[in-house]
Amino acid sequence: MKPNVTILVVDDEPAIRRLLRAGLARAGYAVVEAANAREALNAMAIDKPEVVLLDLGLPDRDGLELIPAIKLQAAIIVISARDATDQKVAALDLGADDYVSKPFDSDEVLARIRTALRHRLPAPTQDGPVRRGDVEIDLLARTVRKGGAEVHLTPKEYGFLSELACHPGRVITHAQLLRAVWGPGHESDVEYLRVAARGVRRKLEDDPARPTMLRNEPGVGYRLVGLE
Amino acid sequence: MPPGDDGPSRQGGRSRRTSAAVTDPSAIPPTAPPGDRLLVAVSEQPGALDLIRAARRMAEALDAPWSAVHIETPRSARYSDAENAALAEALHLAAQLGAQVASLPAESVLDGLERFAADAHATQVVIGKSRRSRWFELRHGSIVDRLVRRAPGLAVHVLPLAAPPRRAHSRRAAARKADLAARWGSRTGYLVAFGLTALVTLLGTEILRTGNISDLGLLYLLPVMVAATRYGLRTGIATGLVCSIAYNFFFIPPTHTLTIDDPRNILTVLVLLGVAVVSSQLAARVRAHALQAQASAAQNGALAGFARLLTGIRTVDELGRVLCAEIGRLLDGNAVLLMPGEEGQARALTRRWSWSPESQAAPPQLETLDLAAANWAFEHDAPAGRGSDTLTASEWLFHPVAAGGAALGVFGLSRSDAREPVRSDRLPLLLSLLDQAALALERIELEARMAELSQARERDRLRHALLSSVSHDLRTPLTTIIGTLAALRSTDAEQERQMAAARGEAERLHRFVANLLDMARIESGALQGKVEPVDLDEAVAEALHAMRALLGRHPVETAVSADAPMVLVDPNLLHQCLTNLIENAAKYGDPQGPITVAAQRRGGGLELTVSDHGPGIPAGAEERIFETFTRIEGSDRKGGTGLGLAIVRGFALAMGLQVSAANRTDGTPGACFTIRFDADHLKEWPL
Repeated sequence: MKPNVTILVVDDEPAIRRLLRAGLARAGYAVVEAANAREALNAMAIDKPEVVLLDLGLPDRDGLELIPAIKLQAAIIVISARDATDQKVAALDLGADDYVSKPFDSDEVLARIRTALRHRLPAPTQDGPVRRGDVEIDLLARTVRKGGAEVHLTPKEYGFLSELACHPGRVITHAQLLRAVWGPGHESDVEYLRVAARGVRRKLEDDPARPTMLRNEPGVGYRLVGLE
Repeated sequence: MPPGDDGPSRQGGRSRRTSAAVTDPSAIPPTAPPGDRLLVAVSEQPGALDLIRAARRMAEALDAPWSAVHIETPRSARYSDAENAALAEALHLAAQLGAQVASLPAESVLDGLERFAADAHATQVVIGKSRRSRWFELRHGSIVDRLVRRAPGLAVHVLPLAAPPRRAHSRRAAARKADLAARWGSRTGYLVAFGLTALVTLLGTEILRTGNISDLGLLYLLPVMVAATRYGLRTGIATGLVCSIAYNFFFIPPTHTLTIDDPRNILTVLVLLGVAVVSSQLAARVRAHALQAQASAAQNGALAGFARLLTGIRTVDELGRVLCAEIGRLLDGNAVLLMPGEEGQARALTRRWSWSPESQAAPPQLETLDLAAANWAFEHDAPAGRGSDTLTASEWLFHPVAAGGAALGVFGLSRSDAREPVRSDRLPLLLSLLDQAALALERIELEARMAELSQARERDRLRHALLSSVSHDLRTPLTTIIGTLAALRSTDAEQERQMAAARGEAERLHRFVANLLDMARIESGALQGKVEPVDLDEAVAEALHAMRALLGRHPVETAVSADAPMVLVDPNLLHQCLTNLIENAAKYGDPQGPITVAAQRRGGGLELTVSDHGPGIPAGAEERIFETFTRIEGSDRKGGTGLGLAIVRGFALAMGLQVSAANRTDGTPGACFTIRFDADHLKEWPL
């Protein structure tokens, strides 16, 4: 149980707030609610939540405007409609940590919260190697092993993989990946990502046609899942 | 008053930019001073059309507005039909090319030109120099030389005019002969003048009898002046001669003979003749001016009245009726306006309005020949029919009603008395009226289009509002229901089963709402795909991952060939297509038979197929299956919405892809859906 972790739920629908509060309370979180942007900013100042579940369709302001204001204080998980890809990408690029699509699965929401919280904790994951099954990524030694044997990745493949491994479980947008690995000015060269992703999957996935580790979010970005 | 707006007889003055064809601003010479204004003097001479085109080119190069002006001198009244037609054509061309067109009555071309240039603040004047004979120049002087001398601030461009064809000469001569006949004066004039002379003679005899007054000759000035001013030069001179004879015969000693003793009296005769000549010339000039001004005023009045009428008109139908009635009345003939039908009817002239001066009940009839002329005029944007150069056998004269370089309709005129439909001197009036009508038509069509546009925008706004409200208001409760059901824990097996069923139905309802919204997005045309290169392996894997709950234990094979390139599509729309096809295969296919998702190159493109083992598609239903709410076999037990395949096709079309349905070709029963990517939707992997 984590009674010390406070989560702020920002949504103008009371039913959704009630639903999320029930699920989060059962998981042991303290829950604060806000129905609009003004209340959300108040709650940020008073309750100092660690995680914000943010619905972007707020009555008084565009939810996107809130993200820059609160991203330094708390992890932000955006709750959005399935087909609002542009909105998701915009939120992530503004600094949101992740998103879930409506209708959401409570387990999925909880998993995203755990991932987001892991990144807010002071101990960064970069210290030791991250593992998933027989794959081991050592960010300090800059090596990748599968089944104990070192796997040779091209520099771009490694850059791509390490950028994802630094934020395990979190979706990283195309633009963020391209900027980090290929540098500014390449934000729209999505084909570079496709090439790198294909290479990484071929070398690390058990079945490259059914990837379980490197997941693609159509039109949004990539995510490394299941890392320990 | 803006410069150039004060031409007393503006014909269809337009404010359209003259240099519409200049798109590159660097094409304008940087030295062109601001406020340049070009003026071209239009005459009835052959070559005027070339002059106007040249003037337009210059105006374009200068990026300056331009006016075409015709100066109506007393000589204008004596133009032949051919000259009148040439003038009308020239002015019409100028209007079509975007010039402000004016026609100005003046004593001489030079006066008029100078006055107009000053009023319009013109800086450049273009005039044509005709190859007239030296004799003509000696008599009338060269306009070019005098203009340069009198208007020093004006840049004068002189262009040579083409040599007039011989034919025009003979016509001119014929016209002059007719003119000459008219100048001999009327019989009434002679009768009146001679009667007056007799009266004056009687009066003089009376005066002579009462007292001895010597200079009775002055009395004869009266009949001479009356005759000269009222009936023209010849009558005046004849009266002068008759008066001299009468004076000589009755009053100059020796009386009752025609001999003259005193040379003073010879002077009297000469003075009488001189007065006849001078006053007849003066009067003739005044009369010509008055006639010209009257004609000008009438024309302006007609144009202004017509323009006023047109501004109040809101529909094409009303315009058609008013146009026919007004022009028919002004030009005293049968009038008809033909316009193409509504769009999509191959531009056939099916809409018709007509007017006839005799009776409103019986509209004038058009024969096949007339219709041929009308169609020709419409298609070629040039006059046709009687009095034109084409299809002259028709009783009608058709002129196109054109605006912005495209004919909007044709206007026809004819006369019941089988004369020429339009007198040549009335042709400029007709063309001006038609120009105005074309502008009005253009305005009406523009207004209609604007109204349509704002309606469409309102519709879109409503649809958008509806969509987002449905999306929000339906999804929110469904999200709550699904989330709540998922969070509930059951106490026994029966409850567990019921809850699972409730959850399944809620999820189905959610899918249905999502599908309806997708469908609405397709139908509103609001799908704006964001194209990026997509790895098909990845896309297929992601679609299968998204459908994992629905697929359950259903076996799936993927066979994306190793050489398959990337595809250039919207990743989300492709994802929706794939999930819908996989869902369809899972629902209608045999649960034991594997679903195969394959991709391979074919014929320069790439084909992505989703095939199942199952009943397949009934023959002939390959197209129908993509229609909204089509469910083959009418089975709704499968939990489908009837929208999945329609959405696949809609999304695919939005991305520019083709989707087709067929049965498997390997001999086993089952359906196979194919999405085809053309070569321009492919992107090869870098080596």
